[in-house]
Amino acid sequence: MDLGGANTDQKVIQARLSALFSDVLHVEVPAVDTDLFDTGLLDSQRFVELLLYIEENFHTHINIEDFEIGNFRCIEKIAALILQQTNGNAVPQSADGAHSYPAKTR
Amino acid sequence: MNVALAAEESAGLHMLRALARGPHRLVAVLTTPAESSSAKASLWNVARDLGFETFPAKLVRTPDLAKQLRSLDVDILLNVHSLYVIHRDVLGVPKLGAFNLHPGPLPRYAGLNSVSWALFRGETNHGVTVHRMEPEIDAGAIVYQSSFPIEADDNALSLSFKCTREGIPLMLRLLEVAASQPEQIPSSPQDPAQREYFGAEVPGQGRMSWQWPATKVVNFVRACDYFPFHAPWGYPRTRFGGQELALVKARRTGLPSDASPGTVGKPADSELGVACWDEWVSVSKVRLGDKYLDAQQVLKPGDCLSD
Repeated sequence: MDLGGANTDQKVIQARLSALFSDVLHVEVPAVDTDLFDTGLLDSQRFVELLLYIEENFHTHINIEDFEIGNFRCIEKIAALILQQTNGNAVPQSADGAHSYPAKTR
Repeated sequence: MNVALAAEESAGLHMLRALARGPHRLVAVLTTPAESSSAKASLWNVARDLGFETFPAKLVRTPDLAKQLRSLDVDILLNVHSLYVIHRDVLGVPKLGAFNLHPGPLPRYAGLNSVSWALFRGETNHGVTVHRMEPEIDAGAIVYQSSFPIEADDNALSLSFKCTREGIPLMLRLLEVAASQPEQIPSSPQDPAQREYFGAEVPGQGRMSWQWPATKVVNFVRACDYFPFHAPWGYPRTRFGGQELALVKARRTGLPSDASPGTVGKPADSELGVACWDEWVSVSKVRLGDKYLDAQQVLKPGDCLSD
């Protein structure tokens, strides 16, 4: 088992999620283990946005059995879920850091 | 094509971003103004950040908006989870019409809180509908529909997410057809005999009964379950001693009960259950006052809950 590789994947996904929170959801999450619900960083609107963007950007599908709110409590847990779902094949971020969401125009 | 978008909530935000990526010109965004400029994820602020012109959503109720939209040469108006009733003069402005994304299957689930009503009524399928807008709410001809199963573990939050996931692509398909072959936009009149309209009311004013079968109790809890977020219906209320206790998470056990309804017990080793008319229901999370608590922190075998 390539634990080093899995760890690297996990870190890459965490970094992408942190960027997603910052750029799309406009939320600065202090740390990957920050509780997103208890701190009020994730409201219901942002939560649904997050799920949609996870599906789009990581090419995965959130199933009802994954819909346990504990899976989304912090970036660390979300990254673990994505890694598990993509079987370690989470798509690496493109070199230019491009996302599938629009950039600000002003 | 010039598009006007009336939108709220995450579905509206997602539609806004999809439009921003697409080939059409978004000439007006009608939504609730943000309370502050720091509410950055609000649709209002996101639209402004993306460079779109924003208007307060409530203007759609007035004929005055028709003049403004006419001056913007609007081809199509899209309504995504915006709850204001649009004035008929405004509906008449877009050249190709006004279209609504409704998070429920029409004509059977018109009105508010379709997701919660479907769960409460024990539906095993749900759907989303894109329809032409008329002055009567959710009554216009159907353009596109998509249906999907409601799973036993679905709750209001998960089903709302599914509606958004299914609905946005339907709106994008509409835009594609409207831009290329507008005469091909499907249009199937709704059958008024099948129409059911739901308002803001909550079943039983939010109270449940332990005399109900377990299925009905659990469906009510699922219908309310937006945990850990705000629940529009609140949570089903019961009485515990002199206090009101709300059920936040509950599921069926399939274990028959002959205990008096409302009795708290341990139908299985690790679970806390409450007897319904026919079956034990496993209760894992409750709300007492404004606190969400594990049920085992509040209840113990031998306690009794009442209606």
